[in-house]
Amino acid sequence: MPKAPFFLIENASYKIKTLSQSLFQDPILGDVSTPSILPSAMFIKLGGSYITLFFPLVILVFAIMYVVIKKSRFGYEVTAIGKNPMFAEISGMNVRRKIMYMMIISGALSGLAGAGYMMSEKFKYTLTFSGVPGLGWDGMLIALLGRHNPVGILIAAIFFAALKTGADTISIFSDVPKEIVGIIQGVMILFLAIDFVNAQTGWFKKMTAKMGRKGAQA
Amino acid sequence: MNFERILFDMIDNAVPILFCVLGGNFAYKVNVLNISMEGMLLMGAFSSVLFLMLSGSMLVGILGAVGIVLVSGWIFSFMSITRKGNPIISGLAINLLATSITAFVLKSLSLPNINVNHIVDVAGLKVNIPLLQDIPVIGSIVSGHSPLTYIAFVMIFVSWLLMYRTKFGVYVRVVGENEEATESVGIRGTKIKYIAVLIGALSCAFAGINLAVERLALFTNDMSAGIGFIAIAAIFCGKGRPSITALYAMLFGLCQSLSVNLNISAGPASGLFKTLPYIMIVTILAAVSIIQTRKNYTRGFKNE
Repeated sequence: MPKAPFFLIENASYKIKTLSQSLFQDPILGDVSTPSILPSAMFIKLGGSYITLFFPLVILVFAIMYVVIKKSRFGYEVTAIGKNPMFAEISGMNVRRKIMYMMIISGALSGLAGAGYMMSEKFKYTLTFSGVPGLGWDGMLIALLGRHNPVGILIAAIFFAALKTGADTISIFSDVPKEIVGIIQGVMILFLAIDFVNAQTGWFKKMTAKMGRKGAQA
Repeated sequence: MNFERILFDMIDNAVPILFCVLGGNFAYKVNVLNISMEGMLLMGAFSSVLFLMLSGSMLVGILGAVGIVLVSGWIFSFMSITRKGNPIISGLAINLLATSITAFVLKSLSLPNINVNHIVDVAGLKVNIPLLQDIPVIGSIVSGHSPLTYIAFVMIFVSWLLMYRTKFGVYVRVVGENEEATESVGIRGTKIKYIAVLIGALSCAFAGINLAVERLALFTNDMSAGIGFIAIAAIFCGKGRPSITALYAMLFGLCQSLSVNLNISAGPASGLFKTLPYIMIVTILAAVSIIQTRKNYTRGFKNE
């Protein structure tokens, strides 16, 4: 069941997720690990903050991906394939090849995410390198939360990073274990999967209708 | 390298995969891919051990595991069948919930893992088959497993019977083929789908009980270690036919036992063989799908 744009944007979000983690999180030491990388290979920190050089790099990649998805022919074809592969095939797109390209791009972006996470925050490979549920799973969730829309994904990624780092703080200053974040994420994804609130009440439709009316009056 | 040991471990390792596969076949056949088997298995393992620890009785542990897993199966089917969400995404949610709920409860109990060694006697659970165990090679391989192992192998036949020789099995296969057609002749597709998913959940519960209670009497975080996903691979390779998927489950069990047993004699490169099951799965999946697509060539891209 290839959900092509999904994968593409998933990984775009993965990298943003990673960047946001490096934005908020303190480095943690692992037990079983490789030796640290040399300081010359680490991303330098900008000013006195936790933000490293990886952040502008990721913003650059994000801009490129935005243009590719929203403005280029390739992005248009990807969206069309995601909506209906049969139709895309019949109207002359080479679906197999496009899916292969998308997988390669998403692999490249995930690789970039891993490398950046390593070189700007972790500095060594441990067994729990990307956390226990894994950053990749978070990336999928963020893609869903951002409705497969690059800008939405940026917002969702920052929201998630805040959630995760907030959990660390909570577990330090209170009795609540930080695993609670996983539960929140799970419940969220469960309701997002069926678009629960919107499907029950249709508030989004009402709101957009109202705004449209206001716009028409003005 | 001990040949008998490898085959013995193969049967042991194959059992949770076998349970997952046999239950998941029904979900596969009704066209609802149950990706949440991993989470259900973990929930089964966790709740069985938890209830066992709290009550001290085996029966309560088993019933608790079955109950909790059925609830999570019901949530999954409510979200993806009644409310028509994407089953992959809601399955993913169940997986995430399972990992985090188990970790959360363990943290709140301030335990690193749940150990029920004092309640369950793992060695005492082993079944020695009277006549069979005296046969030289076969005896040492086939005899001496836990009771659910033998039930799993009986279940292969039972699920075949249920799938191909009962009215329910026909309904399951028909609903998977064409749901509108079944609705038009008065079969309630939703109900059949629910039952199929819940059968999968039930067998995942037993897989969890086998993994946590029978084999180790211990629950640790993330002990499922991708067994549910391995089962999905097996289901895809065998296209949901009980006997063939069971064979694939055995094959993956063999890979796992090889990775454990080769590790012992590998010396410094011991971590290397841990990758063996996963590499095998990718290779087998690729090979099987190449063979299958070569058989029926469709023009262009077929979205399946």
